[in-house]
Amino acid sequence: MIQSLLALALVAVTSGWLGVRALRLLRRGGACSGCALAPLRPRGRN
Amino acid sequence: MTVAAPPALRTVALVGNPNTGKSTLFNRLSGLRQRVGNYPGVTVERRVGRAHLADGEEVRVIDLPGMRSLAPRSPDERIAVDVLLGRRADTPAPDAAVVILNALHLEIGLYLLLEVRELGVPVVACLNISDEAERAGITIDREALSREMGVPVVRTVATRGEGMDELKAEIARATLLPRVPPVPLPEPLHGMCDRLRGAWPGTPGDAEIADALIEGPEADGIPDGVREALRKERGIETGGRLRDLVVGARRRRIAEICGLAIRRAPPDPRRDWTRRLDRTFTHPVAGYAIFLAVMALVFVAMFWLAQFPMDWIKSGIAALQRGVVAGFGPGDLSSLLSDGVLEGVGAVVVFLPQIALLFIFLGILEDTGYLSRAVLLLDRPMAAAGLSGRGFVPLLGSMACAVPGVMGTRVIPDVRERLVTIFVAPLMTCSARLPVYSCLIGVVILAAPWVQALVLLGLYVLGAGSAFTLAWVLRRARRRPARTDFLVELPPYRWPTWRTTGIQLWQRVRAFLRRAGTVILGIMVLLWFLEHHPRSADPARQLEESYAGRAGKIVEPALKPLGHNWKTGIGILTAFFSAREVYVGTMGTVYGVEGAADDPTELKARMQAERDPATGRPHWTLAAGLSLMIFFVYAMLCSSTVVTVFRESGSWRWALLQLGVMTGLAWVAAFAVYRAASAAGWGA
Amino acid sequence: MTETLDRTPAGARVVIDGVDGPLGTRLAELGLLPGAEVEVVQAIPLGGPIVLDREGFLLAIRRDDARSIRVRGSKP
Repeated sequence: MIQSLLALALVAVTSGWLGVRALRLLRRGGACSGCALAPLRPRGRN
Repeated sequence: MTVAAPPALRTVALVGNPNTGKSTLFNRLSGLRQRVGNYPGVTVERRVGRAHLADGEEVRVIDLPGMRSLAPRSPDERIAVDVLLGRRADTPAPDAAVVILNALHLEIGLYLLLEVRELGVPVVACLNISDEAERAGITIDREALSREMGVPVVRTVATRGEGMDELKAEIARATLLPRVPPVPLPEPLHGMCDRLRGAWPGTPGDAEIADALIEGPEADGIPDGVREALRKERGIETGGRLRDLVVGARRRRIAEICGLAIRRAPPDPRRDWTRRLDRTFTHPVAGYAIFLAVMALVFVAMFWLAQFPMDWIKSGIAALQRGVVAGFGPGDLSSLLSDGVLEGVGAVVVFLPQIALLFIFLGILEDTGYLSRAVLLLDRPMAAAGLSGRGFVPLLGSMACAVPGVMGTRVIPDVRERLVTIFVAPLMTCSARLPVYSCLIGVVILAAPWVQALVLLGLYVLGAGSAFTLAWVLRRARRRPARTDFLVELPPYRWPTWRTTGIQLWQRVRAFLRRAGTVILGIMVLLWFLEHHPRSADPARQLEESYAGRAGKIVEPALKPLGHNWKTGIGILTAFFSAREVYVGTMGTVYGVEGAADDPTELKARMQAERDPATGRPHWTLAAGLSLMIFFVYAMLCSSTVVTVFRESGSWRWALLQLGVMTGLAWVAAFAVYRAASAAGWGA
Repeated sequence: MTETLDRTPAGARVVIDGVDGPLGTRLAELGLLPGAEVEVVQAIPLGGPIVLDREGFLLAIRRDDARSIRVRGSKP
């Protein structure tokens, strides 16, 4: 069925992309977008 | 005939002390046309934007971290100095610098202004927060100031947008001026710095070397290889004399200038307000009570207020799901999109209102100035755990996400203290745990919203309390902590600036949605595949026989004593390899796989309907829910953090030790809670 | 008579005589140099930091650090 093929294609592409991300994460160490949730800075921090 | 190439984009850097309204000014200049990220390799926030000047041309604006002087004392300040001096390959050297001053405390800010001007970069001085200064009866003679400092001085009120046109005009003028050579330090410091520069790692500025000479070779934070050279060079000079030569001289000049340019009326009533409020907010009893009450209020609001937008999002997702199934008809793709993607991503996105509210409230707390007082109240209790003031910020940051929190421990000079802080940081309840807690609380805590909020607060307190306790335990194994560095400014209380809070909130929301739309979406797609293959003859057993199901079954024996089964196993496994909130997404797909494709019952109801196949009793009892919540408090279900810890600590052993200890702790605690709760009769 | 900042009672105005150690530069940059007048606002409970007022600028320092700041009473 076309649907199954499309679904599998989507899965394949996504796995590849995730794999690349994982590799980049390992190399750069913690470059997940959690960093965009940047830490709060209490005023007066020196 | 040639066409002239358009002029290269000019760059202006915004510098200033903390609490000068620099961010507000940056937002005024660049509006939403700003990009926030990180300087590569560090947790320092990098904010770059574009501003439109009067004649329609654009200029690049870099918002540098707040600093007191050019002698860097943290990675933040070091980056700021490097950018100013044009020493960073990834950031263009600024053509001009805007030094932002708080008109209420001009004498303090002039120090940085002097230093920056001595660098030779064209400078525009910006007298911000002028409205409050004028209300306080402070009159500043801008012409005198401008004459004495040798730079244009613009009066601004960033919160109201006053003075922006004049500022932009001055910026335009300044970026066209050439740089002049920097003013050298007085002798003997100048010679000493020159000779020492070669021995220094990296490319330090004069201010940094001078500061090291003043503090002496025994001070913290001085690169090891340099101490000997520093000692020799310093010779018999004392820190006091060197300090007076530079810092003292500058301060005397500033006192002179202030005498000419500032006139003060009698003390302002605003200060009294701040004083009066402080007496209550830092009272031995009322202060702490108020702190807890404020925190409790935030949590209650998060639960109760968030309901409404959450319901709205839920029905939106359900409508989309119906649309997909109707549009594509039954089949794999439709299942992938509806049961996999929409179900999974939807389960996470539904918590956006809660996270948004959290950030709104914390933003308000910071804006009003209350957060600084909270820092004060907590300093001593923290010291009891062997953590220093510098450790507080990374830990607080870990409540957003442990990854930048762990990176933020770079400000701690003492290696052993730093390792301890890194070790306990993941126990601080990160925002990714929030959807998990919310989901579980919703399923098993069937009580009024304020009770649910209390449970959530309890989990947060448990996380923080465990972090400090663990730090205390680890402290026994070290020698006494090194000198701390603690100098906290207390800004006067003020009403929050909605505009700044709004922009910050928008950035956080966008980041959250981007994460959901990319990583989490990707995981859900993958997960769909793992949950639906290999094909099962009996649709009711599809999940159990799939790859995902099999993986869950492998870890099930470890989860049974905690009151859980292989389905939870799938959730935990996926969370570990991606992000904690993915647990919720996974539960969405796990329970979605079972139900009919267009079954509108929400996740919570489906989880509550789950029955143990052997006994026929509900699976999600209070005991099971609590045990899993406790498990999430302690477990390191975040591979990103493990990797970051490895990088920051430099040792696989420390990272694996942490993973092992936390997992063990999580298991034992969850086990204990499950047993206790079952014994109390909550397991039926 | 010189004493140290950590022993100064709340509400008192004192003049800074000298600061020992690295804290000195950080304070100096903020204008708390020898000769500067400062008011002790309050001490945070539980042995917490001490809040100082320098011409309207409020800042807090650790009690331990206050011990290395020598002060003398200012003339009223």
